[in-house]
Amino acid sequence: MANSSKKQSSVALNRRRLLQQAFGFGASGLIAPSLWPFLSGCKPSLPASTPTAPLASGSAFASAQPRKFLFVFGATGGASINDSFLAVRQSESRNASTLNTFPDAMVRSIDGTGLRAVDLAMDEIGPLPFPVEASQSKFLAKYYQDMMVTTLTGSSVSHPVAQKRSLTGNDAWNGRTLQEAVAAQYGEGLLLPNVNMSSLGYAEAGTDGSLPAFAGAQPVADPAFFPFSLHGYKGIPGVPDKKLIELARNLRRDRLEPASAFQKAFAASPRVQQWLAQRAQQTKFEELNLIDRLNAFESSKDLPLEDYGIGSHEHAGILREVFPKLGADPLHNQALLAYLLVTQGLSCTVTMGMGMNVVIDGDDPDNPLLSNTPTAFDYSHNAHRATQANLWHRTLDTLDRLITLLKRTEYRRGESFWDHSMIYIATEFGRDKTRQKGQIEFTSGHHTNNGVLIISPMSNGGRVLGGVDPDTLLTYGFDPKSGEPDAGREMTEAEIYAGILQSLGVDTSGSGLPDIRAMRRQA
Amino acid sequence: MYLKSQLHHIKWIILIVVSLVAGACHKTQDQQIQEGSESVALNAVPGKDRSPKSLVKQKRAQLLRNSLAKILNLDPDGQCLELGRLPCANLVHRVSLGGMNAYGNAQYEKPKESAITSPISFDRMVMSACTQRANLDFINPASALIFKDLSFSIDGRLVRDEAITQSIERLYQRAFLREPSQTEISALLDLYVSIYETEPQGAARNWMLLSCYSVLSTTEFVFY
Repeated sequence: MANSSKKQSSVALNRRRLLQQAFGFGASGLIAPSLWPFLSGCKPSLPASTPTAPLASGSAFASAQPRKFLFVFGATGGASINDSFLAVRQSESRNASTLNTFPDAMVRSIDGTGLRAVDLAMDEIGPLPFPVEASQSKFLAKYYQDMMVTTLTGSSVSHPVAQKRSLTGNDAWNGRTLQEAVAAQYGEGLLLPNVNMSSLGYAEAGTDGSLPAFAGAQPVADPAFFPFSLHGYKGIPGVPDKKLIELARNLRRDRLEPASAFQKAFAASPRVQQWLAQRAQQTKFEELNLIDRLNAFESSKDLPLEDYGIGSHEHAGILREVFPKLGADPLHNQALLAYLLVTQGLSCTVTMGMGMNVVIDGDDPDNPLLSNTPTAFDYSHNAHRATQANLWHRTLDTLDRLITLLKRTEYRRGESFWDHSMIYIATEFGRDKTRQKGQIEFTSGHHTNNGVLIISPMSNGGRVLGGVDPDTLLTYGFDPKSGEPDAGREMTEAEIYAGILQSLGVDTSGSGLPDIRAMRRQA
Repeated sequence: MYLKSQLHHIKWIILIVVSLVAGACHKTQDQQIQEGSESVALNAVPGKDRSPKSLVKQKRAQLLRNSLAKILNLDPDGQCLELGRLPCANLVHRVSLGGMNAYGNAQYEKPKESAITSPISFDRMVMSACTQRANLDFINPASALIFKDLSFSIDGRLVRDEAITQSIERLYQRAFLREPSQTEISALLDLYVSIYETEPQGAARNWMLLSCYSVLSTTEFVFY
């Protein structure tokens, strides 16, 4: 009893400390070692019979080459770098009144980094009567050492085309997406190496026919329902015991199928063979009890998990505190599943994104907030400044929560998952640089000139690669080796693609990709 | 006239020889494929039964739902509900089973290949539907749809009689519009023995459910 009470108080303390550290911006850069056993990745909870290969355990990690993890965040609609980490103050531009510049007080910066942030509040988002209170500076202060902004000039202003090019580097490597390349390098032996929860062009598969089959993306439409696809019968009322189901499965495989005329006729079909190979993996998912372990929801009247014998992740309560809008906000659902997929040893790359549907935060019914504008960042066509501010805030807030958990979950030998992770905020393009003279709110179209944010301990963090011309707001490039700004150069999608893969240690030999040493931490 | 008759005979002889040679070549090719392949399934298949193109399509979620509803005479919207309320085919397993989610998540393209979760989702939908059908047939054998007129002992065992084989035949007829082979009938009869040996309690009802599940989740039912 005494032990139990001690354990409970320890959990409560840890939970409090975790949350304090998670969101006490600026004070939580260090990981508290005492939290290691609290949120652990792949080490605990494995059934004794679990094979070590699919869910790499502590010992497997110790002996194997460490994996790297890529999280891709699809900032749908055109997230403008001029409205975030390359914002320009009005006092810095000769054309301040007609360019998308900001009052000086709204722009924060960190000396010596070139990185900036915009904090602002507005009463509405164009015609939509929802207030915006947006902050980027807290995120910048917390993570600037791992934040790298690279300038980029894209090749398309079509949403789906540009989205896909942001992942393939405009077919820089046989049409292989970044996620596929990472999965091919680090995903062998994982059950779900490459999971994609995003939409439109961010959800499309690459076109490289030589990609290993295991590296292709597993599409996920709704992360809240995904765990149901990981067990063949748990939670179905009235099903027989596991031993009996195994009898039926063995009969199906060993006697019924070989006897059928269909199997005799179509056994050579690649689709049939793939199906049989995939089906052979089914028991691995079931033995790992992923239907419970990837579920962070609480049993309730609306979601009667307990009535159907379905459990939750062992730390579901804490996870829900970090992602309090679980269920209501699709982005929280995605980010939490991304965390679980990686830290449970199932995936090495996960793609999420804000989608184009409206999301309203109705926690306070009298003062609802618009979490996601219609068409996401593309609502800048109607209300540029409020849309950009609102959605950058939403993006950074979600990623802060994800990074917080990754930092506090041990991967191997005292290193956190975050130490081996990268977040790439992919976006289609930038937005127009101009505005009507003096207008605080204005509209904007698509513009190929932009920049992207990469957050990772493996990237050349704490700096801007390239720069922005304050008199035009056009970004310019950098020397791929030294990283020195080069006003006469623009960076291509292929160069950013190459830099990301090289930072992650992906073997790109023979690909013809350029060496972008400047994007690596050890540049 | 004689010459014409001889020519006719020669033509037939040539045709037969050509056919034999072609057949021999075909057999040789088959053997080469079988010997060269690492696929167990392919090796086990006699060449004459094999489709030369092997073109098949996987049943997507809604087709699976409709097929199960028709074969098992169940409500298409009620035969598989996760947590008793979330529709399997339209919502939970739609993308896993080859569908898309255009309105919900702007996923406009169907996956080109089955995902690793596809067989699990497929099993789940079949298991759910078969559970319902087995329960209905078990409760009222006289008006049962598939497992009709089965006799049960007091402790829930099946009483061996013709109704069992007829039930298997009915299951295959409804699922595939064909009679089961003797091998398939024997396999399902043996399944009952295995179930009973493993867990005697409720063996009859479990056999009904698992017979349905094992047949309706074979590749023959997955693809068309």
